Amino acid sequence: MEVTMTHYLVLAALLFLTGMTGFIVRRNAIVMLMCVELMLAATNIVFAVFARAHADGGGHVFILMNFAIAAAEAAIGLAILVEIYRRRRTVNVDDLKALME
Amino acid sequence: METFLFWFCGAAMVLGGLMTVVQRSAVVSAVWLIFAFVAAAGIFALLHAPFVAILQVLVYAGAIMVLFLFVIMMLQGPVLEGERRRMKPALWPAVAIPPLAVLVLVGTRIADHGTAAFTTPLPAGFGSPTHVAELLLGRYLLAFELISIALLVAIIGALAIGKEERKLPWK
Amino acid sequence: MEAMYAFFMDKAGMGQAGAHVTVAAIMATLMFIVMALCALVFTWMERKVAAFLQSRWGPMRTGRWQGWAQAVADMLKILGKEDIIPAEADKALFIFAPLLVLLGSLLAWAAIPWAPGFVAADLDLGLFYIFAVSSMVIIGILMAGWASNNKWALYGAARGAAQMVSYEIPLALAAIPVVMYTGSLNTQDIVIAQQGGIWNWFIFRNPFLFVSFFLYFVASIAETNRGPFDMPETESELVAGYHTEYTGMRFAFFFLSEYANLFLVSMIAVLLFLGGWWAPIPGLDFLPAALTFVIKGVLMVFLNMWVRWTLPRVRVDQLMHLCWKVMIPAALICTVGAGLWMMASGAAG
Repeated sequence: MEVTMTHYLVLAALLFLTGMTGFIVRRNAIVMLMCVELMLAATNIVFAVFARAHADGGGHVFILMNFAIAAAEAAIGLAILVEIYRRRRTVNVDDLKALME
Repeated sequence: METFLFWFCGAAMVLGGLMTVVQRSAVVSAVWLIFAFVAAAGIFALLHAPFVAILQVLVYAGAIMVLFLFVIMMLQGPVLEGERRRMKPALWPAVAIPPLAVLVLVGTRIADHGTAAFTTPLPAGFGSPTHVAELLLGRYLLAFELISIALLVAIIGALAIGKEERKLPWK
Repeated sequence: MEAMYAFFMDKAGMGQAGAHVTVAAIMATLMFIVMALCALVFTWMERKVAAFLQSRWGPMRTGRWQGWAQAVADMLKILGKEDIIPAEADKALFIFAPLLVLLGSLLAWAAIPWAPGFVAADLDLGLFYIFAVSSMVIIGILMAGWASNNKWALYGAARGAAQMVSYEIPLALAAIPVVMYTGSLNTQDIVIAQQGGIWNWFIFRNPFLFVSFFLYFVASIAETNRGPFDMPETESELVAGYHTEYTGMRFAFFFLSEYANLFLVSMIAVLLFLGGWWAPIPGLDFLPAALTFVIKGVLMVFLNMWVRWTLPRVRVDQLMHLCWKVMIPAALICTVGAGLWMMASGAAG
């Protein structure tokens, strides 16, 4: 069977859904951040697919933007987690409910 | 050949993603995520995006995931060994139904309309560093400059958050 | 390489895919053998160089001449050792880490142009590819340190990862002026652009490239975790760093990868700045291209060892200071300076 645009898009959708499910299911904040990275990677594939479909390199440029966003998000997210861990000795989101009660 | 590579990289990527979610240890999760990202580089290469493919390995696997592994190791403790509580079985459908619904929708749509092939022919040098650079420093110059400012802000923000608080005399 | 493809397609009657797979398998085996050989030669060489610099003899007994068989004896000893996996270790990661470290070095070797047309993977993005796959080594080191479940191993791995991630930046920045001159990331094109004697080598093209070469050299020492930047393995503080818990074959993988990386960064220095396979003066043209290349590479390795056994180890904060506050700004200045020089001399299009 020939590989078509649809195949790539379905693959990206599968990955995005995996990342989304992981974000909901997991309680460890670091793993949740990793699931966000997985979702970003899935959107990158969609960018690449449409860049290929329209023969327009703009998609590639936006993948690079997405890399920068992912890096910034990881840096700040992890810095916040380290700070939370210093104060509360946990990164489990179930325990971080000071604002909930 | 392309078909085989697609199924190979695609399967590897889905496997990596699933294992990231399923594994209880954060370190093992991170290693599987790296595996998924390397497979994603293969997918980019198949989509005629060689520059992006190599950046994917360099930036994601080589820098971002190293940062993750680093933080996981720094915060080593029983907290990171895994989830302490399992999810209540009553919640499983709530988590599983939305993704499945999306997949069913996509499946019916493909069954009705068939698959769409790539039709536009690619110019020579598509996705090469020269091509991407010309766009990045030409048509998308403003976005490029803005993203560099965003990165700078992120660096300063991470520094400000991560810095050890000094003992101030009035505290 | 074209000749090899032609041979397998015409003489052996294989299809195009079959010929590609066969050639890839042959090249991979060849690279692995060369890698093992260079680890053998370099262990012996390191001992002799260290001994020479410290006014000792070094190994003299094994083998007849200058103890040349010492490396072979060492290897046999290592392979015969008991394979120990610590009880508290994370078993899967512990087994996988050395393989990943070796894989990172081996993949990077694929893009080295040994002679005109003789390169295992002739990629348009060759140089970029080398930098990308060598970052796999960092992940392997982190995994090894974590999986050992040992505080020294973990400290060693954390130091190693911080150091290698930081020094990757000046390493890549120092290569950028060369890429600007060549207008290509293909490793063969970079070497071809330096044809015609020693004055056409990139190191002597302009003063900024000259400085870039030294920035690259210092960064490459840090990148291979060797002295004076061998904080990840400081024997006086951390026993042996991230491979403290490894024995036998698994330790041999780390060892092999260390020397493979040493030769890799030396060969990249040669292909970027020192003219690759071109002879320095016309009189030396009779040497085969690959031999010229390897000789230059071995000389760079010697320089590396010389530095290692001469300078004392630096502290972690000095290391980071050097990288972020000295080398990265210097490399950026070199990039801009080389660009301006190109414009002034009319080399830029």
